[in-house]
Amino acid sequence: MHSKQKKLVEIIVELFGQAQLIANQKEIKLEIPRIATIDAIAKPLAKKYSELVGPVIKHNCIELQSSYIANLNGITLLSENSFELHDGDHILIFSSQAGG
Amino acid sequence: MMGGFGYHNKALHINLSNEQTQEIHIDNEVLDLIIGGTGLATYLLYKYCPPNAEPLEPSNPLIFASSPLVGTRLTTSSKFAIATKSPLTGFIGDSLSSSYMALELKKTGYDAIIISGKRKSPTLLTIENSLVRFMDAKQLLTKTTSQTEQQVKNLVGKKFSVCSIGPAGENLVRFASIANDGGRQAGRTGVGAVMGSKNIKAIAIHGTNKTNIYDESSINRIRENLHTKSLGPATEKYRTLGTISNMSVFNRLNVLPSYNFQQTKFENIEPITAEKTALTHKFGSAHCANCTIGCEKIFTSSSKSGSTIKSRLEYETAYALGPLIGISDPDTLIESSHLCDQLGLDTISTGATIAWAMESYEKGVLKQTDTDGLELYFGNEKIVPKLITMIAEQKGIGRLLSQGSKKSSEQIGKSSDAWAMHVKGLEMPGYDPRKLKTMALGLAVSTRGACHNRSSAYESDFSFISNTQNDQLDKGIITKKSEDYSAVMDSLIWCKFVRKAFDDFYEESSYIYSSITGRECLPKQLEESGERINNLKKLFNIREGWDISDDTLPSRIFDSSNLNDSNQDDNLTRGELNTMISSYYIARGWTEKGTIPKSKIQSLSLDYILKK
Repeated sequence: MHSKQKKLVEIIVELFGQAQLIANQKEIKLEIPRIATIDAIAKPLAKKYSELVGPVIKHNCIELQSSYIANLNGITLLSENSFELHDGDHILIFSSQAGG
Repeated sequence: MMGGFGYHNKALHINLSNEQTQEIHIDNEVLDLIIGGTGLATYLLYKYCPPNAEPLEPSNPLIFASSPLVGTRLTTSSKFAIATKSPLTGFIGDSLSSSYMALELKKTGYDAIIISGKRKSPTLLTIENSLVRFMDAKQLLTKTTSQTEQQVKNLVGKKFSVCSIGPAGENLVRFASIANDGGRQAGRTGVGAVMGSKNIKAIAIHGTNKTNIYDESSINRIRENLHTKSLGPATEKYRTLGTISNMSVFNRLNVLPSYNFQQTKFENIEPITAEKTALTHKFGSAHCANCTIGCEKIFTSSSKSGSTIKSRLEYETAYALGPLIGISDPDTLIESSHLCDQLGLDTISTGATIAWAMESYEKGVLKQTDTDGLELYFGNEKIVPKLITMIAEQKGIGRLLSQGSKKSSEQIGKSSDAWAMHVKGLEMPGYDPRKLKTMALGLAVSTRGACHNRSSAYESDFSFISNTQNDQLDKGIITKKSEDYSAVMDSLIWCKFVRKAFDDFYEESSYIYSSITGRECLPKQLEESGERINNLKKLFNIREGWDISDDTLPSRIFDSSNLNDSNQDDNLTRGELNTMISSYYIARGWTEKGTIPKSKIQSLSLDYILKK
């Protein structure tokens, strides 16, 4: 079946900074809905790595803390709106504080 | 004359040549317009630097400016500004530093210290309230910044805060820094060389004057609130791994300049990422005075000789002494950072100038006979610490490189200016402008040269809200606004790492300003002060010979043909940059040639304050 017609897609979440150290993982494979919002990523992450809840994921388990942002394939910032994913897409979770 | 609230309403002018001192009154009308910090330092530089002064000649003043926030104990407020005419750029050189020196400077009872002239022999300058002394400093020559600070404290007492230059400043390396409080650095634009040119090895400052605050209870309430916010998500990165955590992210986003900007990704990044070094090297945090964040991450390394080295690693240092010169060994990185801090060198300019030399060597422009036998190829970790020392001591090839990449390339010729990565003579920070296009504009038009801090224009790029080819006109407005915002931060002075703790920066900061000074300050007034300060910096540069050709980027930036993983969005053309520059001039209300119309100067009251 073509990925566009699938309900679920397999993506890779890349963790950076403190999030990576807390989860002790650089990359995490997730299967999530093709049309998704941030909560579709936050929920399974929170379930798999409960230690991320608090420092990285809000206690409601559906939002990232404001100190983190999610980015699709190094190009697009993921906002509250829904977005379309494809098999093999990478979601990067890194600090929202860009300076240094 | 008694000072008002938040300020002392006076500066101290010290003439090193004749040992004369003079108090200069600064009225509230002027201070409200230029705030303090960088704004005040720029104002005094314009007034006290003779037009066309040579940066390393006695007439070029070295100005230390305090700010209204110092003494309030608000988090991150213990900062001070230094301004001078830069020996790297020939334009305004301004740099910030922080911690106890800021508190002692304010307690002298002056809002600024202007140092002009030159001593005949190496001197320790001490300022205790209004008492200025000139002490022999021959015994401090060749000492590192840490050794100097310690010896000066032993000599004059621990109540003094000390800023000093290392051997690099003594030897007039054009990117020498001024260090204070155990390693804080006013790093950029060569302020340490100007201090060295005046034969001042160290300045020890102590004061006992209290800062008057108009509404203490409001400031106390705000302090509590900011304290709480500064320990939350708004500063998470800075508190945990520090800015070095940019390394892995920037590399992943293809915006980490490597091999002298020949690449935007470093293949050997892993060992020098924050995530890795946090596991392989012991590290701890350090705080400036009155700071709740503690962004400084001090890493411990065992050197090749077996001794232990502790050094702070932050992103710009790690970029410049790491991927930019092909280095992926964390111990070499820590040792190089340590050497730069101890010898008194700006790490960005040091790394970028070495990168220029390495590319020159690999291209055959510099030969082993020019380099004292050193094999200057990228990634040669064995030679980097030695080369840093040679630069600071102006020995061998270090003599050439001590001038920075622009002047070195001009001296060597052979088209090596094509890979001298600077703007206006100041070496580029670690944000690749081919992809970060608002940053590209910010770097090109910045008054102090290639600087990420004076505009923070990267914020827009990283928020990915302004990333299409069609919004070049918007980037002019974004950059203008972010420059003005940065000027206000640098003048009040807030550390930029606390910026996200504000819900409405201008609203909250204007309220704080009013609470300190007792004078009404509207958010719009503060924003206009940012605009005024940036126009004043530009006025200084125009007076010192700026023209539109200075607002550009190195030619390499317009050629993406060698980039790995390059894609359409990673290209920046000259045409695109020029369109953005035009939009910036329009946003600023400047002429199409980038000069400031008289009407603009008048509307910002710059003609008025410069006559005062």
